Amino acid sequence: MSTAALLEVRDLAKHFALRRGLLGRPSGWIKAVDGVSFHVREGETLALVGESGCGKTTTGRAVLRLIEPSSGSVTFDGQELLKLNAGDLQRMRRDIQIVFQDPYSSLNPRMTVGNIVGEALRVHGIARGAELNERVAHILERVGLSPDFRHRYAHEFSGGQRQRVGIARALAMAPRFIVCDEAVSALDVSIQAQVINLLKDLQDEYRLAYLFITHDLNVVRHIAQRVAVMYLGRIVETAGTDELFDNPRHPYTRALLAANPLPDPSSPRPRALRGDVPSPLTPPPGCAFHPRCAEALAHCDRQTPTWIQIARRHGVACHLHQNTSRQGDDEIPDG
Amino acid sequence: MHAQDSSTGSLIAHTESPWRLFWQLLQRDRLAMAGLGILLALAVVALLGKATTEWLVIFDPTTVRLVDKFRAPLSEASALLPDADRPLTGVYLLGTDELGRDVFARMLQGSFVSMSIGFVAVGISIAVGVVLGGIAGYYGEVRIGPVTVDTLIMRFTDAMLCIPIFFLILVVVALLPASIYNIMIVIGLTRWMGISRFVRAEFLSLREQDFVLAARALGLPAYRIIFWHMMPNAMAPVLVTATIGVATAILTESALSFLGFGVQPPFATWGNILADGKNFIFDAPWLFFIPGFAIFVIVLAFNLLGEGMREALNPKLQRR
Repeated sequence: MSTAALLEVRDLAKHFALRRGLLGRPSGWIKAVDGVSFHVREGETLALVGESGCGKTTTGRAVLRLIEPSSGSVTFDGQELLKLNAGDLQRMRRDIQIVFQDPYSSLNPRMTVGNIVGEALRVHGIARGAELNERVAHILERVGLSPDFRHRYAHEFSGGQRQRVGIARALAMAPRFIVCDEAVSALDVSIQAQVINLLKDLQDEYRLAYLFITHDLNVVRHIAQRVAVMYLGRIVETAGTDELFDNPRHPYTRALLAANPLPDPSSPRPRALRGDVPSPLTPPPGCAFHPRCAEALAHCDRQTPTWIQIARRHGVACHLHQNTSRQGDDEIPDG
Repeated sequence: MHAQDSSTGSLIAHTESPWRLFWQLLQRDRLAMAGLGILLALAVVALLGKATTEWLVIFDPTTVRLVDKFRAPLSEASALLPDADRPLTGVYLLGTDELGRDVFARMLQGSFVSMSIGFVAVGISIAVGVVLGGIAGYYGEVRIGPVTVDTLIMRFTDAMLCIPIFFLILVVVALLPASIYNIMIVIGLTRWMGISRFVRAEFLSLREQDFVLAARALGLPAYRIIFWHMMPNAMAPVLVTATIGVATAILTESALSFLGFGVQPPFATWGNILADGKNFIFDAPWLFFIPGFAIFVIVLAFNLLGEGMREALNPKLQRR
């Protein structure tokens, strides 16, 4: 694993305006993503985990500029993506791809599989004619689909097969970085394992970097080297995967891990988290997690916790660890 | 280990495109197929009508035969008639009108005029509706001054919907020369609002669909996303409305002709044959009922086909 970050995200924010009035003045803001920073190295998988509605998907899409971020910076291979003009952005998009959650809505129902996979190659003038057919057939084969499928339509396939088509589409442009947005969440567990293995094989073969967005901690353990835990638009803890599972520091991370079902009926019943995720329209003051936190301190509802590096590759934003830590590095939320 | 679900079996070349699936479903709908059959037959009649009344005049809709006024259908031509004015077989298949003109020939000529008005008018309204709806749906958030493009286009659409269309057409037709082309354009330009509304709605929902996001992530140019990815998925309801819209346009033309604002003589349309016939409804009822029945049949056929298409495109009925 190289040391330089392939993708570096700093203070990324996406605020959605709520209900524009007659003159276009918003009546409120939803801070879906509110100052998120992380990086992904070449050939590495960073998992982004959190409950529904915490801003994982928005983060993934903002990185690709499928949603225009409100502020922050995203550098890919040293280039600032948010400042690129339309033409440069289109060129850059060959390197950064996305695989979606829903294998049904992510494929155009009126295109054949061959067209779905090969369209970008043709439109960008990378391959045409016999060469295009050959490349499409090769990619389909690589993701475990028969090349004969390229004349068929997406609705003729099962969920797992469709997800492979989605992966093949992302691979067609030979990207270096793929955002997997809940890429296996809609699949049966057995198919999940196949697709995860496929993603890992492809990573080894092409030195791909993944931003793996998921809510399923069991999946994280299988695919990610590092994990970032998100809560209400912010990252609350990052660590190496093993470190995070063995030694979670943020109460939210602990609650998530405790709630994760394990295939062992004798293990104690998980402690459920109290309450629901607060509305991102009116996030709680101080630490956004304090209303649900079992270990909240007196000042948790007033002061926003700063980022603390506990160990070289383990950081957390929590008042509980304010004094137990080495000198905090506010900038880089992991080592 | 990862090739389990990719079913290496069943390598049949058979494939089902969404249009083929639609066609299969439509074929099961007998009423829709009956409508389609009638329309195809009428289309053939219209083309033959154009050919035999204008290019190679076998049936002359303009010949005036004062000795043969108000002949009932299937009656024979008078012996006094000069040979040049005789109908093809010497029999008036659908009778004659108050000037002794052959109603069968006039209906033939009118079928082409009526159907072409229907199709051209709907073509115009689809073009306008799809373009405006597409712009509003795809580029809706772009701002021009204090308002968005979406607001601008959709409020204009609402304004158009507020105007009683038929009276607007009457005004325009009263001011413009009442040629076939003006009537086609006027009907077309006043019937696009429904289409633009649901093209916009389709585009708004399609724009957020993952496959459109994927197309953007692949760096495809906007025209390609709009015309290859979004438009084909938005066209199904447009086709249904268009089918029913042809019927409405034919009816509108008939109503205009009935009021005397439509296509002017000597051009026959079903509408103005009907309008002329209403004066003689008791003396020569066929002048009234023949064009009326023709309009009824074509409108019914278009509606049956349109309803059948709507059903066949209903995703709940389509198996995955």
